[in-house]
Amino acid sequence: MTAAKLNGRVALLGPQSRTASLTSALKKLGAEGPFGVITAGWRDAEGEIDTLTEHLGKPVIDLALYERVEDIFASDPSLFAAHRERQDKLKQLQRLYRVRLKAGAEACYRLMRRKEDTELLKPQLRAAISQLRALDRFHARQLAGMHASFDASIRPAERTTVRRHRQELEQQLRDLGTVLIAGGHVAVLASRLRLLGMADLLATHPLAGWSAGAMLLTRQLVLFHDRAPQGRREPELLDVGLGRARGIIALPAASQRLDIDSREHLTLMARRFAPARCMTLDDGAWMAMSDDVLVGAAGVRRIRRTGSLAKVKAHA
Amino acid sequence: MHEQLRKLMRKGAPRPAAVDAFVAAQNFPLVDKTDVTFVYRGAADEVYLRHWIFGLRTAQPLQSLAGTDLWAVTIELPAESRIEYKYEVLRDGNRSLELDPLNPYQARDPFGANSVCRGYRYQRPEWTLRDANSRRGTFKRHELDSKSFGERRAVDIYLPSRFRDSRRYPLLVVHDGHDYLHYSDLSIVLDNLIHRLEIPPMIVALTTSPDRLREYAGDDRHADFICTELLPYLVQNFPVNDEPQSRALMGASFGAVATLHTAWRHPDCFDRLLLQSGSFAFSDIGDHSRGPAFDPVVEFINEFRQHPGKPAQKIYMSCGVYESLIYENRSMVPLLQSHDMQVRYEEVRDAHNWENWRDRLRTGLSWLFPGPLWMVYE
Repeated sequence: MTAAKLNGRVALLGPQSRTASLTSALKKLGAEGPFGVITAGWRDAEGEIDTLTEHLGKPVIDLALYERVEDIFASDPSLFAAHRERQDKLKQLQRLYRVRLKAGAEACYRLMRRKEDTELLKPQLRAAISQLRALDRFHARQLAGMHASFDASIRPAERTTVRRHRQELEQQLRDLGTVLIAGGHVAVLASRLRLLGMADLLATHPLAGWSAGAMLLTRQLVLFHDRAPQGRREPELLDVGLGRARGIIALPAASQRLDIDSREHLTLMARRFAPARCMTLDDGAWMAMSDDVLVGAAGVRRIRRTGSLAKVKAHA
Repeated sequence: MHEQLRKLMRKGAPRPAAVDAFVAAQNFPLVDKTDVTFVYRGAADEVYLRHWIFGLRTAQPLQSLAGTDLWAVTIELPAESRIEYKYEVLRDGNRSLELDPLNPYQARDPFGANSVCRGYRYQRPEWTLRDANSRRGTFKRHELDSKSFGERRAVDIYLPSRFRDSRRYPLLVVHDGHDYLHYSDLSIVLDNLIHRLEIPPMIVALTTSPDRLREYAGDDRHADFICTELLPYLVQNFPVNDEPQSRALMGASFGAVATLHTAWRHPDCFDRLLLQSGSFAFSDIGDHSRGPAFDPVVEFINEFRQHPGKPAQKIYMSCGVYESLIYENRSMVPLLQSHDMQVRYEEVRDAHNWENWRDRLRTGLSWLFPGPLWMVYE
């Protein structure tokens, strides 16, 4: 199978540090090299492509997104300043969203623990979850508005250095088959992909991403961690990803990050993001999709509305 | 009496070789789920356990075990406790305070060292130990002229690994900075927590006072030094986020008083406070009984309790339940909360010491400054 026939195919994988499942997923996809790779590049280890090349046994070309954006910022101070301002505003927006989210989720949990007549309780809970869903939609609109306003006023795509890097990327991608997106800092990855307009550039390439890279293949980037030292935080919508695996909420390293014994947390997560399906991607887990249809999976589990976990099997 | 000691003594006085074997085979003190037996070996007229557990008699006599040179006492100690102690030994009319020679665990502080009793299920947190994978931050001493004090003051600046001028960092200002470094392993903790993504890379300013009992006790000069001299200096010379919510001030004991007082006098400087075992003594009526060093503290805390204002948005507090200050710290929490401050308060089975404060740094710092762990999926 050639790369051209793989248009629309994506693979989402769990962390690759302990169990490398990348070759299995790529084999199922029929994906071939030469491979391109995108990393967050924010910590030294992520710039290392050698391990990946060795693992795949094929050449891997670093698309060097992190370095490209650093170059853009260095050569275009006004773009850098505007980008920084937007990032600050995004942080503020996220903080404000979190205030409402915390209160809304707490109401849902309290209702779940109530013992009143089910007939009375059910619609209350449904309405409370519906409010959370509305809040997520509102937040998504706020984010989109902020990005649109940035694009309209700053016009990053028309900036000289951005144009040059995009042209270089376009040329590089012409010779590449599947593009891999590594794990790392999801917000750093998302902002660099966005600035370089990678959604368009990657539109026809088969993509495989692990951890943060898997999240970026979906539409809704949902942050989650139940075991952080400062305590649990309610899962929150961060941004919009590439949207190549629609209808999926990717949850990398879920067994480590999520309290999977908490039915109420998982129930709320499943119901809040429905009809999107919350999929766990632990070490070694992977799923392959073609035009939003699951074509292969191993070790992936879906969070049911009841808060239990169900093994995911491919339709084809 | 502890089971192992009972076994040793069940047939009367054991031979010295049996005592040697017993001592070699045990870890001291002898820790059970609910109590601890302290054992001293040596010639003495009297032996006392000197500890710093508020609520228990400070000096607990050890009993001589007949026919041996062993002394022992058992005290109640709940799980997860950690206490520091020494033996007071009376020998030939002389008294001496000694570390427990049978216990390898010691904690240092500005006054020397104490033996450490790790109660049942207490473990030193692994993030307080040097991790070979954690990159080290760097320290550099700076000096600035202080108008408030009329002299030059030194401050040591910690820059995180991978520091870059083009980035902007949160700022943490630490009272008794050198003590935190030496006795609470602050640099190891910072390196580890940053490496583990539990706190963001940050710039840390370590301050030290030559007269802390005075300057930290609600002294306006100190508050002015921190906010009108040190802070502008740091903002001017380092890439710190120049906004209150990216700045924290911390301290323990009198350092916590200085932290609260500084934030209270300059409420727009630091939005984040970390207060450990604050010496928040006060009097509802009449005099206090904590000695003259506390006079200005009580004056400040009494005033603060009358008019707390809003010194910060987010405050992490901790206190050991074996401290005499536990009641003052507990009573501070509802006061702060009722004035719209977000407070996280932890009580632990420990006392007024630097390792207690060390063990709380992860929760406190990560709560005040959550790291990118939330954003990172590797």
